[in-house]
Amino acid sequence: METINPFAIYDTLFVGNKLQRYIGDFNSSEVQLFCYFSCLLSLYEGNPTSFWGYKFIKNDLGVPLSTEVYTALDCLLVNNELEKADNYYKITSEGKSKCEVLSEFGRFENRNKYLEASCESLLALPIGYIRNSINSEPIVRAANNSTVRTLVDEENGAIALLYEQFELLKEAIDTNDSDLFVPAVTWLKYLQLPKDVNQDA
Amino acid sequence: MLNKERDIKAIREFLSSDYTSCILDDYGSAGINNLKVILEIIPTIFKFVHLRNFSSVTIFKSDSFNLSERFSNCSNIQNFSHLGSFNSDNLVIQVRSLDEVLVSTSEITVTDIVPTDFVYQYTPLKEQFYTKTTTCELPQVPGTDSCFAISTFKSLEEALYHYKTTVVKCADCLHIKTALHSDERIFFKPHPEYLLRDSMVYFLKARLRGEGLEVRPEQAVDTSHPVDVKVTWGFTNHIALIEIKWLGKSLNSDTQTFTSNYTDSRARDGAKQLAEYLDANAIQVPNHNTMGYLVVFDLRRKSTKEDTTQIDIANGHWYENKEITYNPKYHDVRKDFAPPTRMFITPQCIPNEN
Repeated sequence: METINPFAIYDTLFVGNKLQRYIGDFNSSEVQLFCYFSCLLSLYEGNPTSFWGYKFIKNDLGVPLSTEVYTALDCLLVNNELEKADNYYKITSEGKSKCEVLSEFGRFENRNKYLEASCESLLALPIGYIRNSINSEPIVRAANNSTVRTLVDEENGAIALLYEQFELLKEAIDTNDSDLFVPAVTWLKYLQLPKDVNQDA
Repeated sequence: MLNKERDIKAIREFLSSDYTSCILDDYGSAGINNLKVILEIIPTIFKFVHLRNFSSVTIFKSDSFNLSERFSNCSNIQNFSHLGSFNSDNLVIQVRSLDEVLVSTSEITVTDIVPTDFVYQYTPLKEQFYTKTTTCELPQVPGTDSCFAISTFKSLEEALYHYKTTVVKCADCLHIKTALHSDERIFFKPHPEYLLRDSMVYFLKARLRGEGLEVRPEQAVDTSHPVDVKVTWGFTNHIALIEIKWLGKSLNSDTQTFTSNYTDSRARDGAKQLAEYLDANAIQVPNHNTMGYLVVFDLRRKSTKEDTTQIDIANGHWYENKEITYNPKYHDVRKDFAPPTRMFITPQCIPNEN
């Protein structure tokens, strides 16, 4: 039997709610993309990889995904908190209410800023651009050249490259603002700068 | 190891003209909060405002500058569909909230606002954010008037149609512009195929949505068959193979000679080639639901010679509506072959003599 991860349930509701607001609806790959991006933003602030509460692996196409998020999508669909038509989901009023209630729980509240910043990057950049950037980040890039399946894991050597890249960004942005919107958007753009700038990362 | 100093320098250089960073530097977190509201409301506003009708559209959010105190012709709008009724040269919009804006058709001086709040401005030539210390020009996105009004597509057919009508038709993309011999769009440069393919890949990667979507250039169908573009929808067995051909002449500007001259028979060759790829693909991956698409970039012009540098409307547009006859019509006889798409690139013409 598949176990239901409460963090994945919350993240799916949060991301789904935001994607619906910004782009009308969402598919499972898009939810996976923004959950993964949020997880990476939690590392930007120095949280350990265990902070996120569930793991990501790469699929056969080298794209990050979490089985917990898939289970969460199925579970929310069964509970009528999501509805689905032609492979695209919409969050129902029940789903929105649940998201609002959960967002005030202490165990979820401390991940809001990461989820918020990753989804808000959609205000500044098209979803295809964000997808291409995340597929070029150090962990995914390293995983696509190796047999490693688990992505955000202390034992994954590529994490060190990501931390180094984040240190560069922090130093360049140089702000005390706790909002992660600017770092998130800057990092996505950085990942698509010409190769001679970020080739080593 | 990272070349730390070099990378920090490069990021800082990039940030010095990036609007998010400049707004953060000049207005702090309050500026970023206003930016998020502006970025969320712009796509809604642009659904109702036909940008090309205006010389400028200026949008800002401010507690210090009040549009209604400056201009008597100011309208308070809560139903954004009313924005479509403004008929003027300039449009100035002060955002009160995500549901309410003030609108004036007067001319505004940006420098009156930027001491306290940033300003976004669209003009037909460029989009810019003005801040206290910097003017940040936004990158131009092919096939759209604003980088905040980028449409996305759930179907490949819909995406290709949009690509044909908004990007290829007027060569509104750096890749296609680079593939052309001159601004008049009469000839290609030699071997334009890679640039045309990259243009399409770039567009589809940015605009197509789908479950586990992946768009890849030059993918091998089998050991001897590389197809120009392969689109894969992960978690399904759906694949699209796109074969690209170009028609017209390519000119070597050093030797002033044509290197290729492709007519409609080239498109028919492409159809045959795609049918063969589809057959090979069916053997390689028999359980996949594969669809083939032939895309033909059409730069055919009538009565041109190596020294042609200008073209009139009659000769330039001669082939615009001349569809290609395919024989066999694979798209009629095969279920895995979509109707070919001819994408005509219009020329920059001189008026006809008569």
